[in-house]
Amino acid sequence: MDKIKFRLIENTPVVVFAKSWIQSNQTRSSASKIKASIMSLVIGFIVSIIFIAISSGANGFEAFTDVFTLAFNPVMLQKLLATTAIMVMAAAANAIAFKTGLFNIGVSGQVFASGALSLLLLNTAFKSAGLAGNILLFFISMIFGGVVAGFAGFLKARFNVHEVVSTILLNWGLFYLAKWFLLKFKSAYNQAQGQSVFTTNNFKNTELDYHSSGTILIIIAVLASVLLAFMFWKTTWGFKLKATGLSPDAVEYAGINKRRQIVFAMATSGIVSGIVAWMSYFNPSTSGEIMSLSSDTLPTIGFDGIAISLVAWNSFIGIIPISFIFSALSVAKTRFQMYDLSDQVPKLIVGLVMYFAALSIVFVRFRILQMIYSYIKMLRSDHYKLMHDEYKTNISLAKQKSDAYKITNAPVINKIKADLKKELSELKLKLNANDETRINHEQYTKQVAHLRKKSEDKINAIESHNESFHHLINLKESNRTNVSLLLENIRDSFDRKLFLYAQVVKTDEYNKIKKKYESALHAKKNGKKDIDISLARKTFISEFNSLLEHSKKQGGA
Amino acid sequence: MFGLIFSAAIIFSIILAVAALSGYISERAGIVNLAIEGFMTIGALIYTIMRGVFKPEGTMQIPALLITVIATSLFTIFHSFICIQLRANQVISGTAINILAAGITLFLLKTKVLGFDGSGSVSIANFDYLGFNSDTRSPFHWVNILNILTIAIIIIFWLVIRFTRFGNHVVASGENPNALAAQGISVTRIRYIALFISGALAGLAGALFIQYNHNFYGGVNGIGFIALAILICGQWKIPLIIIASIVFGVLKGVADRSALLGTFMFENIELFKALPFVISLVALIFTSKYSKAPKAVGQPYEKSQR
Repeated sequence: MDKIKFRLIENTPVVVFAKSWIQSNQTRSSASKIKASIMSLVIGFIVSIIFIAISSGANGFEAFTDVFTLAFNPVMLQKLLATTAIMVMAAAANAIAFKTGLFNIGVSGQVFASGALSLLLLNTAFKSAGLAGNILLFFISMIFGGVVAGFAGFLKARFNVHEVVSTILLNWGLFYLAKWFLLKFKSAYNQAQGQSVFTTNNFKNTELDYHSSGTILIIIAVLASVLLAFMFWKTTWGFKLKATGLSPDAVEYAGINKRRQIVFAMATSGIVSGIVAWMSYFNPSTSGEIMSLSSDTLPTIGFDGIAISLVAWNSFIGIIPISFIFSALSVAKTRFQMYDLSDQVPKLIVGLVMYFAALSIVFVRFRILQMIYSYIKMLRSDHYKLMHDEYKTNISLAKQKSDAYKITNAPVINKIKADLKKELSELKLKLNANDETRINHEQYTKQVAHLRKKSEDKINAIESHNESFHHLINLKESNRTNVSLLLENIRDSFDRKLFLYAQVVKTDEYNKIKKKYESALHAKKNGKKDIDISLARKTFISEFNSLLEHSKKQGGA
Repeated sequence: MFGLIFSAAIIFSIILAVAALSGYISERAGIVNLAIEGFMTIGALIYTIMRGVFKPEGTMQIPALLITVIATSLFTIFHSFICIQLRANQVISGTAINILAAGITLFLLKTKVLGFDGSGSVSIANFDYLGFNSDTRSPFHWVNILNILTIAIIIIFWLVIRFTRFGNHVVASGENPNALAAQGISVTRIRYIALFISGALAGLAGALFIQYNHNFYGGVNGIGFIALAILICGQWKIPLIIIASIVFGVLKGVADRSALLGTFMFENIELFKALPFVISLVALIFTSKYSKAPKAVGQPYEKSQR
């Protein structure tokens, strides 16, 4: 009865919509992307556990469980949310560039530079401005980040400087320049003696405090990424950028200014990195994020953003869960030290996951379920069983024959070997002899090689008559090819069946027999007792099968 | 003082030239190599480990360096597999290699394995490396077996690319791989070999850098990216690349030793460190318009498209 009920609700609009949505190409491609993301994450984690086990002997799995338990502790909640927000924005900054066919490696530099500028302003002009000053800094960071990245876009559009190289050079150039500025005006901020700069002190008195700032940041980040997703999905602005990424030549024919789109995309990406700077340097939840000036290392958030964006296939929604996983690792990273591991494990994982995301093109093509299905189907098929039985009997026969041959020829081979040994020992005697039979070392090695080759040839001549042995090898080889052929056939026939089914369902004949069956169902429901439903179903199935056969024949012809 | 700066300039020129040539051969073969920095980092890591293992003194430096070079060239398989076998995006693969190399290095440096103490940095003592002049203040301090060998390698590399069949094949594989395939030569094989050589050169550059820097904390300070800029400024031509690396080497050497040049330089050391990068960018602005990259660079080779 359940089947009948399902058939009745099958045609309601909701189900029709859901079905068409599930079967649409877009959904399938995003499903395969989600599969690829999950696989690159899982494989990245597995490989890093193996790497940790090999390099330091620690149990990585236990450490990861512990770290995640700590990360989801309510005490860590605000920090976790704030870090997630920062990672989401960094990934979004990269995703904007990726969608336009550009590559903004300079997010780190943009974050550092706009953070440094805002920091200087904070400690001089906005010293007592409180919350209003903080909000103003939000916009200043955005504008500065946008200007820096837009400059790289301008260089690409105007001077043909590849954006990858220019953003990398800007990264390091801006890093040192910002550091120079910060050290030059060191007297402006309180910790004059230290090399590290603490930035959050001035916000202790505003409404942004430790217990709420993470929530505020995550709300901003989610809103911003949803807004960006909408802009790329529905507005002309986003469409132009996307089109530039998909086909730079086509957009010029369509009358879109390609160069302007490049500058726009980079500037937008930079604006989002400005938000990252504001989030990471001016909020209490990241426990007073330190702008480290003691060593020459760039902030790594930009590179984490690249990895997250790639794993999420540049989807503005997909980056949120992936950022959540990475930030959980990152907030509790000190826990790794309990297992004698370094707190740099998250970096290792980010690197590995990004590497597997770069080769995720393999995972998209990888169809696990179909592979398992066709393998099981092959094992259960009669053809395979017959083939396998035949193979088994053949191979045991061949083995017996080969063994018998070996046993009969064993004395001959043993004799050849014994002869060789004897001759070799005679030769050695000659080498050490004192009379005229003595030979020099060169002659000795020559003769040894000659004797060895002679006896080997003899043995080979005997073995080559062992046909059953060659037969055995051939049998094994042919069986392997047969099995793979069978597997391929099954996969092909499965695909063909699906295709045929889809073809037949579209035809008028199918609609006719379906209507017939449905009318029978209706009649039964309306109280006509003399109609046999099982018979109707049987005829429907047989008619459907004949239709399939028919279209198969047509397709064959 | 002059001797120190002169030596630093020469050593940086050599490092940058080797790193840029590492990018050169891979881009000439048709593969974008953003991963020079990552390969250099791996080379530096392996060299640091080898110095712990061998305690190389005298002639034992040569096997340490040899192992570094071979191991780094094997590491390029991670890049070449994605670029050549899977035909995926080469820029993304290069960035992934950079991040992966940094991740592996930082992880190992901060874990108590392979002779590291877990502090996150390793300092390498200065040692003679078969030098001819042990006085660090002499302008000829840089003359030692390591640097002479590297200069010889650069010259041999140039000759090989210019005058041998293999060099021609590499260049053709980046300009017109289909023509090369039509001659019955495997483009895939040429590209694999080119990346092997690229990794070997980058590993050598990383080892030289660590030997100069005496301090390894998980990176090579963006040298790989400057090498990339040199490659573009040098228009993918070896003589121009060598000239450009000398210019940048002098800049970098002066910036690195600027603390010696009086208090003004010492106070503004960050400014001088920024200088090579800024000048690279300016040089790129003026040269990129005329840049003639190998035609097939960045395009995965597919036989069916012929």
